[in-house]
This record gives sequence, C-alpha cells and structure tokens, in this order.
Amino acid sequence: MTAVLQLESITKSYGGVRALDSLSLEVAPGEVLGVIGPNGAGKSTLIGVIGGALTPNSGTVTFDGRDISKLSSADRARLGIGRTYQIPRPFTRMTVADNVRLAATNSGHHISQRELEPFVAGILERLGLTPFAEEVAGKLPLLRRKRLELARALALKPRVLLLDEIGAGLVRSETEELIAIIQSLRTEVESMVLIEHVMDVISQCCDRTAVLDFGKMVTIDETPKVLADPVVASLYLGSVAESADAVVVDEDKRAGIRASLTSLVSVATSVPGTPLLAVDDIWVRYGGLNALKGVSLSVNAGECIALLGANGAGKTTMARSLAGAVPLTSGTISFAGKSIAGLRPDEVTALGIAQCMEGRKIFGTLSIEENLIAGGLDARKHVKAERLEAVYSIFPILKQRRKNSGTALSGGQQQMLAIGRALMSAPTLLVFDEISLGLSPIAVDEVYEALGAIRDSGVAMIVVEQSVDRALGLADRAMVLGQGEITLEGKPAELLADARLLSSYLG
Amino acid sequence: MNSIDPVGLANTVLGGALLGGLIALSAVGLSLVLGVMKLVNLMHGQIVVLGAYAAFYLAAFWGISPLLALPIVFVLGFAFTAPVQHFILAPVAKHGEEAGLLTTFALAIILENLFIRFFSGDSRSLDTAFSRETLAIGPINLPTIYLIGFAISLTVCLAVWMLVTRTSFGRSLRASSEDPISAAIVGIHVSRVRWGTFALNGGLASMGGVLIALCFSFTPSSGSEYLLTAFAIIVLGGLGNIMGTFVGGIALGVIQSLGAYFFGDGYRTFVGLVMLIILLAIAPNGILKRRRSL
Repeated sequence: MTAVLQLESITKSYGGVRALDSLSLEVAPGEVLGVIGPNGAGKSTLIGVIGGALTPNSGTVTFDGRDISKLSSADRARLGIGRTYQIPRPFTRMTVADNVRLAATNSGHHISQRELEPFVAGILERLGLTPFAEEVAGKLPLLRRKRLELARALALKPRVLLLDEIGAGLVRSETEELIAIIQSLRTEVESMVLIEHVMDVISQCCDRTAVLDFGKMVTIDETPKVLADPVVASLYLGSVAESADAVVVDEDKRAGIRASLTSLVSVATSVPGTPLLAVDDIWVRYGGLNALKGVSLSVNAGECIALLGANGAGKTTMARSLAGAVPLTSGTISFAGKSIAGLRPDEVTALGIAQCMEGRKIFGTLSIEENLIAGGLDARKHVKAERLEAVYSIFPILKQRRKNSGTALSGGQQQMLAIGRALMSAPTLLVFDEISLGLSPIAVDEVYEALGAIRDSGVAMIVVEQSVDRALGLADRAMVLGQGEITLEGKPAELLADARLLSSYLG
Repeated sequence: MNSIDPVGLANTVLGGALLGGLIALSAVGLSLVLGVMKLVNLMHGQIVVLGAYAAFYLAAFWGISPLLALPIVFVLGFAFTAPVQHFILAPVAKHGEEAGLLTTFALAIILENLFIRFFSGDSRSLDTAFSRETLAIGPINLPTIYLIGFAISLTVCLAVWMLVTRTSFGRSLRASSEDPISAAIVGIHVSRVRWGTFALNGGLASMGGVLIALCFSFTPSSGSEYLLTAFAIIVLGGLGNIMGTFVGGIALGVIQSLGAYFFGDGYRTFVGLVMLIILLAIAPNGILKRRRSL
C-alpha cells in the first residue's frame, strides 16, 4: 500500500538552528501517527511544513502521489489536508456556527446552500458544540475552542488531519473526552498526524509513534513499542544518567543561583496585621460574562501562594487584574498599603509586581538581551547591568544566545527568558501565570527548579497553575478557583487530602 | 519615440534616485506611527506642508536659510504634534481603531483650511543659494540641492535607525509595536512611547517638508499628494523598516523619473503608482523583505 503522505529529507532552519534535519516520514492510509519529542524537537515545525504554513529549505512533501511542496497552505487545505493550531485561532468575533460555515463554504468541495445547514449542524453536534452555536467564538473557554478548532478542520472534509498539541492545557476529564472524539474521527478521515505532550492521547489514539529530537527522527514504530523503549523514555523524561550528572553540579549551581537572586528580588519586610497584597471582593465582567465573582485573597511578605483551577475558572483573569491589564468592575486591590486598582500596567510593575505572563509573551523583534532589559527599564544603568549578569548566571543559555531574537528559543528557554525578564525589575511580588503550559516534562522540571530557588530567596509569589502537583509542591498556601470564585483554600497537604480538590478541579 | 539618449537617461535615473532619497525623509515617520500606534495618520501630509511653511516664514522674517532652519523646523514640528497626540489622539484611541483615523482626517481638513486662511492659497517655494546650481559629474548634470537633500535625508534616516535599534526608547518602541499590552505589563510606559513616536514623526515630517519645498513649489493643499507619495514609499520599502523606507524612496524616485522620461512629465505620478501596484503583486512585503527588522 502506498503512503497517503510522504515527507522526503525535509530540512528547515531558522537562523542557524535546524528545526528539522533531513527528516523523512510516511503516513499510511488509515493510520493515526503520533509525533512526540522534547520541546524544540521540531514537532510544530513538522506540522507547519506538512500544512504549508512553513516552506522547508529542502526536501519534498508528497500527498497522494503528488508533489505538493510548492502549494500554499490554502491549496493544501482544499486538497484535503486539514490542521488545528496549538493555540486555537477561531475568528473571535464570529459565532461558532459561522466559523464552521465559513470553513465549509471554502473547502473546495462544492456544497449547496440546502446541504450547508445540515452539514454544519452535523459537525457541531458531533463535537458537542450545538448548544453554543450562536455564541461568539471569542468567549469560548479552552476546551470548547479546541472543539471548534476541530470542527473547522472537519468542515473542510479533510482526508488527512493534522492535530497540533490538541491536548495541551486540558484537565484529565477533558482529555478523556478529547480522546473519544479523536477515536471517533477515524471513520471520517483517512489518516491523522497527532503532535502531543499528553501521553494518554498518544497511547490511546496512535497506531504508530515517531520520536523526534533536535529535528531528527530518533525512532518510529508501533506505539506500545515506542513508549516502552528506554531510549525514548530517557530522551523524553530526562535520563537517570543525566540527572545523576545534574546532582553533582547541583549544589554549586544552587549556591550560585541563590547569590544571583539577591540582586534580583526585593524582599518585603512583613508588617504584622497587614498583608503585602490584599485583594478584596473583586468582580471582573467581560461582555455579559462574570469572569471573577467576588474574589478575596491576601499574600503576606515572603509567602508563596498557588492559585489552582480548571480552564475557564478565572485564573488568568485574576493574574491580569493584578497586573492592571483588566479593569475591575468592583472591589479593591492594595499592594504594600497602596491601592493599585485603576493603575496602568506599567505603573503596577513600577510599584513592584512583576508578571510572568501566560503564553510567555516574548518580543520577537527584540533580541534576548533586549527582552531582558525591557523588563527593568526604570533601573539605573549599572543596576541594570548587574541584574542582567545575575539573570545570565541563573540561565546561562540566555547569555550564550543573547544576540538572537527572543523567539528563536525553544519553549522551555523562552519560559526562562520570561522569568528572567520578570526578575529584571527586582520585584517584591512575582506572578507566574501557567508557566508549565506546553512544556515537556524535563523543561517543566527546569523551570520549577528555578521557581523553587526564587521562592527560597524570600520574595512573595503567586503561582497560577493547572498542574496541581507542581504548584502544591512549591506553595505555602493554595486556593482553588472555580467559575470565578474561590472554592477551596488551605495548606497544600490539607488540600491534597481533601476529596473536594479533585471534584472541584475536574468539575 | 526617439532613440534613447544614454546620457539623458543616466541623468534622469540619477536625478530621480537622489530626489526619491530626499523625499524619503517625509515618509519615515509615517511608517513608525503606523507600526507603533497602528494609526493611519491622515494628517501626515499637512504636517509636511506645515514644515515647509515654517521654513518659508523663518526665511521671510528672519532671513534664516532653509537648510540652517532644519533643526528649528524639527523642534517646531515636534512641539506642534506632541500636544495633538496627548490632548486629541490619545483620548479618542479608547474608542477603537477607526476613531484615530477619522480624527486625523478631520485635523487634516482643519489644518489645510487654516493654511489657506493664514498663509493664502498662493503657491510658495523655498530658495537657497544652491537652488539654481547644478553639479557636473562628467557629462551628467545634477541639481546641487538634490545632492544636499539626499545627504541630509540619509543622515537623518540613519539617526532614526540608530534610535530605534540601539536606544532604550527604540527598544520600548519595538516592544510596544509588537504587543502593547504585554509591553505595559513588563513595565514599559506605552503611552509615553506613543507620544514620543507621534511627536518624532511630527519633527521628521516637517523636516521632510522643507527638503521637498526646496525642490518643488507647494500650496496649502499639497498635503494629500505628499501623503500618497509617503504611503507609496513605505509600502515599497516594507512597513516599519526604516532603512527600507529610504531605499523605497530611491526606488519610487527612479520609477517616477523613468515614467516622466519615457511618457512625458505629466505621467510622473501615474507611472510611479502603476509600477507600485505591479511591484506589490510580485513582492507583497515590499522590495526589502525583512519587514520585521524595523
């Protein structure tokens, strides 16, 4: 049987970095192929090359025996290659149904006006979107956005479907739903290519799995064999040998990081009876939706708070309102005794609250070093230089590549850059918003190690996370947000023992 | 059509290149404002005209030569546009992207009528000692003022490029242009950056107006033509690319002068804009590809 999709010695470089290095790959008819690998392995680049969003430097892409290397992504979509994006990109001002209609009428398959409505309704039904058909896509929470993303891809009647990290950012019950949807699609499309960090999706959906690292194929085989392969486990999860090495340098490294951090954080002196940050009964309303419904919380000097909750619970709205980027409908926020409600984001940052934003928000037009400097604009020149060196000593990779564009880094490295940038203002309170999102387990380890050191420096922190274990391992106190309200609060150990944690988290 | 005279053609192309580089100065700020503020500044042409009038009256009343007046004109242009941003454009920016566009359109009409009211509708031009001189390079004769204007424009464009790529203001400008909300959260004073960009544009466009008025006469209603030319230049050079704008100016100058050479002077603008459309069909991001370098 001939392959539906064939990639032959594809090479794609960005600057000096080879994201894909003469990679060859075949997808057979009826096959679901998984692609895994650490961050920066070239997985998203691979999808981009197949879908036509990226032009490889060399190599060919063949679809159904036809060379499609020169075709635009729109032409490929019409030929039958559908894709979803890692971060869903619906037309946010259109309704859910209109998003699907738009895809259906531009698919290259003729569809009459009479057939259109039942077709669209059918797709919405399949993906459980019927109740939300007339809602504006921009207001959907993440799982529904992902479903809409799938609906739009299906409306093109694709023969091959490319799914880019569709499981990212979902909680377990949502992941299970997603797996069921993907499995049900097997009858509808000929083949699928799945890029995933979520192993459950890979093990339950994929016939074969390819493992990439540094743009090269490490192995490709039947999924159970690949997942049992110790080479793959060590590559993906960080090998035992490597961590043994890491332990040897660890103590020196930690001492170095501790020393560097002293110039990067401002430790507030605790005033008995007055918390560093006091949030009192804040409400945030977008359009008709209450994102936060009377949240109150306080953070004392030197304290590390974990803010947990499922998608759409209001965690990021909370982080953004602390940054001054979201106007409060009512309520007050005071920081170090001053009210900060109504201040501009840059004024809030100047007072000492630094943000490590969701999605990292690295400036691609700025070099790595410039990104860092942008985080500490108000400091004097020699202070800035000192802080820059301190960040570099914590994250040496940033120094090595300081002249490169901020976005030329892998996901984990970009996250380090975002942390470094937040530290550049020597903040009194740091807010980390979903820093493990989309990172491989080993990159999450690295990032959380840095977070641990930052906590030990005595600065106050709020860690907004979906990943419960990580955040609870770090925090002194934790609270769980659900539907815009704090539903649970306590010491990490108490929360872990509390059955309500799981139920409030999984809905 | 007669057979082509190589010396005449070389003269035309070189003259066009110099003139285009000179005009580029009037366009460079427009590109910054578009990139940073996402504002299509429809009063840009009137600011260019304002610069020309400023130099005209500085010469008429105090006898200051237009070239020496350039720094003064820059300061005047900066000082005039800074409050426009602070008191008019920043407050309306809350009401969406269209608000700024329409406001600058209204301001353009108001300014044009104020020019007629106070400066009369007469056609004016700027004179210097070099205005009627030419410089001979072998068989080629070029107006001295083109060479001087080209050199000034190149110097200022380089200075702006340095400002954007090497300074703290430039860093903040690039970050604000890419993602204003994240920039503010990182601690960048975005409204101050916008203010600075708009006023910088005011100063640059006014100086550009002086250079243009040294070569051509102008009237209170020349603004719309200047705006169109400036747009053509920044599109050719790639939006937000400063040295690209300069090269775009040269390209447009060459194209227009060739049009004038082959079809007659009346076709200068026509040929220029037709060529622009053709070029954009081939290279939609401008002739210099890297549009993100700013």
